[in-house]
Amino acid sequence: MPVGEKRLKISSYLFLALILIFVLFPVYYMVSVSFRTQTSMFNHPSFLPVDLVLKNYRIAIHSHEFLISLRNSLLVSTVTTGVGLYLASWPPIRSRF
Amino acid sequence: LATATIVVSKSRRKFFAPDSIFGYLTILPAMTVLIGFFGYPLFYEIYSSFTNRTVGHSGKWIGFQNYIFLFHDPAFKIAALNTLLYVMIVQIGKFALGLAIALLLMKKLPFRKLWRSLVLIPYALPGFVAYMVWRVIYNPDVGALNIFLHDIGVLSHPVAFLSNSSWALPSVILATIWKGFPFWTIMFLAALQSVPKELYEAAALDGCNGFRKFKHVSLPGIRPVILIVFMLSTITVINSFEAVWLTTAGGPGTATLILPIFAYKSLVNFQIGQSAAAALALVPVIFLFVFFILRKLKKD
Repeated sequence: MPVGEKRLKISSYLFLALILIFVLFPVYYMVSVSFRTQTSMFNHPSFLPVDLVLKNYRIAIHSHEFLISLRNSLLVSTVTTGVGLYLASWPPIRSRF
Repeated sequence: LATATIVVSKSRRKFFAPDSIFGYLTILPAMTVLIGFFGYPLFYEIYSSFTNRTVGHSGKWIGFQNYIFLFHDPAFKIAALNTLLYVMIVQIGKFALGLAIALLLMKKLPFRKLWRSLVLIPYALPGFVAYMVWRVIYNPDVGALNIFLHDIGVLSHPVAFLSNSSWALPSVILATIWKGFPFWTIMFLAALQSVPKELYEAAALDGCNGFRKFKHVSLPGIRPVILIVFMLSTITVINSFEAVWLTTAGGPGTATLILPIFAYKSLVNFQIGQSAAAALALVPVIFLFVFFILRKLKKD
């Protein structure tokens, strides 16, 4: 492989790596923060996964509001998808083209 | 040509023919939905913008007074300028990033399909979740960006990116670009794949290098897609309320005040007429913009 082509390949990998960090870091950070407590965030500020606990999830599952909003979300998504699907599929099924 | 003329005049005559009543009946449900859900609110909004309507008070017709008031309001000027700046930088950023990534993902890379789907994640996240994450990232005490910049020695003191008036707009712009560029990437990827391979081979035979292949083959091939994506995305960004509202809510002061936020704030002050005028102030600009893009598209 010629030197120029190799350099191009290395630089495109580098660019890909930078882009992926920019794109995926917030996603990773969201997951990582969801496993940390407020006090740990303030006492050990870090973007690495440290002091991971399941407390936030436990609080969410045990909270009445979370369950109600989960139920509402499921209801809205099921009903809108169902009705939309029915309405959209009705003409192609009924009519003869 | 002669047959075409006859067909047109025939269909014209049938426009009012009695047997076309059935045709009108079949489009009636769709028209009802369109007029009810799009036409009525739009015209009601336009009508409201000419009244001094407030909450609990139906208001009177006051002509252009709301618009005159708006153009004398310094906050409106700031909001309009911020909107212009915000839209321009966001669109340039999305275009550059979207095109660069699309070109990169066209190359033969290992796990190319994996990278293609990973790049889509920001676009697939709900806006609320995405902007909340960015708020945590920008946080002065616990945010990842401050920690990172401190660790590599750029910052000695934490910066409150979202409540510092010179950093707030760039921070919101970065978050908006992050959320929106995958749309451009997928559209560009799809367009680049539809450019015939023979053209590249011919260009290579004529002695084009990588950049000139891009300039003379790829770019003309995806030009219509660039224009359409640019138009759709600009309309979305001009109206983007959640990006700013969920991060800075237009603050600090007027640093990130853009027109949708401005309109919402006058609505919260119960000034329905003024709010409608503020929301409609951009419509002529968008209309002109769409008109020019469509004319450019027609030329191709």
